[in-house]
Amino acid sequence: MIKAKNLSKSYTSLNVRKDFRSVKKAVDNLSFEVETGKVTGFLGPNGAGKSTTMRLMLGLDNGRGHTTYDGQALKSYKNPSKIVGILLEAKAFHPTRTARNHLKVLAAAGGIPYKRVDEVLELVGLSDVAKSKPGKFSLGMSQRLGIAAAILGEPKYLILDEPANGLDPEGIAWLRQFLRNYAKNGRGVFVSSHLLSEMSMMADNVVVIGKGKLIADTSIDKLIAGAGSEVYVRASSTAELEKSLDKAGFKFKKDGKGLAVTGAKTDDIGKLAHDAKLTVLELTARTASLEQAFLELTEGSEEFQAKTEKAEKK
Amino acid sequence: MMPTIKAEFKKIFTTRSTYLLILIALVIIGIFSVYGEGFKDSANLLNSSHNHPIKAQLPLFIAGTITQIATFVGIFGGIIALLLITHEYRYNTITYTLTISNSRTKVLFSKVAAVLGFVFVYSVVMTAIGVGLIYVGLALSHNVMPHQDINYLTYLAKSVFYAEGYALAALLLGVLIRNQVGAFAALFVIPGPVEGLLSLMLRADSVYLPFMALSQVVQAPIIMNGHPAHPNNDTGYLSAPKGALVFLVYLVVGWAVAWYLFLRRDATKIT
Repeated sequence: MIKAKNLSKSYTSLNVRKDFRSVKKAVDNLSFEVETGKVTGFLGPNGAGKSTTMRLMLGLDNGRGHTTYDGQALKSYKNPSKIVGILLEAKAFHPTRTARNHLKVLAAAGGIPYKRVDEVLELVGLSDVAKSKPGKFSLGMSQRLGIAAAILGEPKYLILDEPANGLDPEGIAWLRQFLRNYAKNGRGVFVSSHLLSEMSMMADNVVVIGKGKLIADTSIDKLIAGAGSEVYVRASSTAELEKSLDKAGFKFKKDGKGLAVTGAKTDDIGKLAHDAKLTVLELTARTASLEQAFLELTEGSEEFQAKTEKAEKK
Repeated sequence: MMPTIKAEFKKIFTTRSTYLLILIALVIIGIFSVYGEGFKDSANLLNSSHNHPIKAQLPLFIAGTITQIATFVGIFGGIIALLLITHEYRYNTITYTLTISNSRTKVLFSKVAAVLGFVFVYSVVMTAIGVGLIYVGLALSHNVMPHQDINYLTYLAKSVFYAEGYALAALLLGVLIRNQVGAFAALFVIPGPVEGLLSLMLRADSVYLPFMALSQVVQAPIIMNGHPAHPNNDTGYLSAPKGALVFLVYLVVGWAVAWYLFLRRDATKIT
C-alpha cells in the first residue's frame, strides 16, 4: 500500500507590485492511501495540485510530509524501479534517442535485462517504431512509450499522470483493460485523468483534491451515490403524488411534467403511488455520473474558471 | 552505483549530438593539424631566417601543437558533458533518472564518473589523432622537423587534465544553471569575455581566475636563449601543477555548491 501523509508544498513568488512576496500552497496537508489490487483515480480541477502531489510522492519535489511504499520510503529500496513505475509527462524523452535506446537507458539504470525492453515495446504496440526517434511521435505514441517506461521494471505500483491523453479510443480501451489487469495481479495503480467517464470505468477508488486540499477519498460507487441519485416519476395526478411524497418525508422538486425525488428508490416510489391509487406513467432511476459527482465536489475549488454566460451577465 | 554509471554512459552514446560533436572536433583538429600546423606553420618555421628567434622553437614544435589541440579537445568534451545534464532538464528525463535511482548523490557522481571516463578516452584518442595528423601534414609538405624535445606522456597527461577539467567545469555549469541555453552561454562567456575583462583589472593575478588557471596547464612551451622559459605576458604565469591546483580549488568549491543544490532543488523541466 502507498501511504501519503501530510504532503505539503508551497511556492514563493516575488511580486513587486503586490505584497512583494507571496506564498501559494500548491498542496496542503494531503493524506491518502493507494491500495494494492485496485486502481485509484486521482481527480481534481486544473491547478488543483495533482501533478505536484505525484512529484512529492516520488521525491522529485522537495516539500513536507512523506510517502511510504509498503511501509518504507521509496529511497530506502535498493532498486526503486521494481517498486514504482512512473509516467508524469508523455514527451519525457530525448527526441533523437530511439525508443528502444530510451528504454535501454532506463533499463540500464534499473538493472533490468535488455530483453525486457523489447517485451514492453511489443506490449504497448511500438515494436515497429522501436528504432525510430520519438521526437516525431504523436502524443498517443509518446504516451505508449511513457507507459512502456513505467512498466519496464514490472513495478508493484504505477503512478501515472494523465496516461490516456492523446490515446485513440482503441488505445484508451487497451489502457483501461491493462491497468485493471495490472491491479488485479496484486499491484496498485494510481492514475490521474480528466476523462471522467473513463475513470468511472477504470478506477475502484478515487482521491479528489481541490486547491491542494483533500476533498474526497472514497470508492467510485460511494462517490456517485453521494452525489444525489434521484428517481423521476410522472403520475396521473401530480398534486396527489406531491401530497403522498410529502407525507412519506421524501424530498422532491418539479421536473417538467413529473417530479424528481432525491434519496429514493424506484421500488419505494412505485409502492407509494400504488398506495395512493395513482397511475404511474413514468418511473426512472437517475444515477448521477462521476462527472456530476466531481463537479458537485469541486465546485468553488477550481483554480482557473472559464467565463460562463451567467457569470458575464452578473 | 554501477547500473547508474552504465546508464550515464548509455546516455552519452545514444544521442546524435555526441557523434556530431566528435565529428566536428575531428574536422577542426584535422584541418588544424594537417594544414595549419603540419603543412603551413612548419614551413614558416623552417623557412624563417637562421638567426630569427622563432627558429629556437623548432624542437618544441610538436609539444606546442599538442597544447593547442588540447583546447579544441577540451571545448568539445565540455559541450558533450554539458549536454549530458542539460538534456535531462530540457526533455524532463530527470524525472526518470531520479526515480529509478535511490539516491540523488549517486546520480550526480555517476554523471561525473561517466564524464571523466568518456573524456579520458576521447581526449587520449583525439590528441593521438591530432599528433598523427601533424606528421601527415609534415609528410605532405615534405618538411622535416629537427629532433623534438618532448615527453609525450607528460603532454598527453596535460591535455587529458585540461579536457577533463574543462568537461567537469561544463558539467558543473550545467548542474548549477540547468537551462541549456544559459549553461552554454556561461560556458563560453566566463572563460572568454568575463575572465578577459577581469584580467584588465587583475593583470598578472588574472592567472588565478579559474579558466586562466586551467589554461596554464597547457601553456605552450617556449625557448629563450637556448633554455625553456616561462611566457612573460600581462596575465602572469603559473606552473602547470600550480595552475592545476588553483583550478581544482575552484572545481571542488563549485561542485560542493552544485551537490547541495542538486539534492535540494525540485527536479522540474527547464526549457
